[in-house]
Amino acid sequence: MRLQHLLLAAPLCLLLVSCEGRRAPSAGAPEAGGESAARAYPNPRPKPEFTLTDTEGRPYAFRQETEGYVTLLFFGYTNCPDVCPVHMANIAAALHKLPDAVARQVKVVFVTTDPERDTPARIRAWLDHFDPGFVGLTGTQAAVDSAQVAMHLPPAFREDSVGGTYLVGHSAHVIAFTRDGMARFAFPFGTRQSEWAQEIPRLVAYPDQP
Amino acid sequence: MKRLLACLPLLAACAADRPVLEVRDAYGYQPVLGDVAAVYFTVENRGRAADTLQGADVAGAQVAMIHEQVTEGDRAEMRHLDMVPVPGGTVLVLRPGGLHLMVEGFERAPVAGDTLLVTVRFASGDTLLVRAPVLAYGDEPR
Repeated sequence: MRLQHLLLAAPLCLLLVSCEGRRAPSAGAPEAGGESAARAYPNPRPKPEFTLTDTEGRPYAFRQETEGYVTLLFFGYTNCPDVCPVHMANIAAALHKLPDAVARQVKVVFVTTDPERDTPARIRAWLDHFDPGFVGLTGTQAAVDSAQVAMHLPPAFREDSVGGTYLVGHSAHVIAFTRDGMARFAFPFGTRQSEWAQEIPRLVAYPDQP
Repeated sequence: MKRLLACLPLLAACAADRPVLEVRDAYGYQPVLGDVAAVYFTVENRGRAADTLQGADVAGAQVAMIHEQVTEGDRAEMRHLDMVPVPGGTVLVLRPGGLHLMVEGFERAPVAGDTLLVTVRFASGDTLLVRAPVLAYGDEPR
């Protein structure tokens, strides 16, 4: 049996590895922390200073506006049908299940990496689908790129696709700042609602355990 | 005897060394702003011969493209794929954060509770129809 079965199994294993193996963090990326979905940054970084424009057209100084809040920062774009809405929906669902006293200590900030297509009105409508309290930010491509560089992320980029459309690369992680203003954890794609519901109170209570 | 007869198509498929395809577990998400949706499904090739997923059509939508969300370290990138090999004896799972069918140009934006009719095309000429229930983002399939 064996050789034939092994030969049959090999491509399946390869396929599974190729599907599952992409979450391995690269050098310098946050490290997985035990059972938790959160990956702790080996060297927590302070909240960066950048000013973008919110969906009401007002300047939004990220560091000042979010001071004292647990801040979940995500770079994405509204034409993304896969990672971006799944992250937003899962965070929203977890926040809606948590006590108000916990949820109101959290700010969720979405920065578009596609300012050309993502108008403030479009970002607002997209975020409202998940939670009207989520903050949406945009700016010039250079300003948005700078915000990512400030977070030590490579700037998002555009890739032409078929039919004159284009795809946008971006970070898949949600960056979590604790209330002391330090980026301590990254939440990879695949973090489930139940994991968010467990982790958000820990972020609020940090450095204590809830 | 009945059992033997039931096995005949399978035996014939094996003897002909053809791909034997099944598409199942399809679902999609309601497009947030009505314009861009993702659809997922699983392809199993129980045959010995390889086939290639070439694309799919969604009834009532102008565009359906296979995209791959590649996540390396903390970076996500979407890539358009013209085809995806499905070797004999393997299962290809389209799932969030991996492969998905990006669907655009809806005649009427689907909402949670609707069902999309998805025709999946293979290089062998096989086309398989599957029903994809539409979920809201945040709902977990099944």
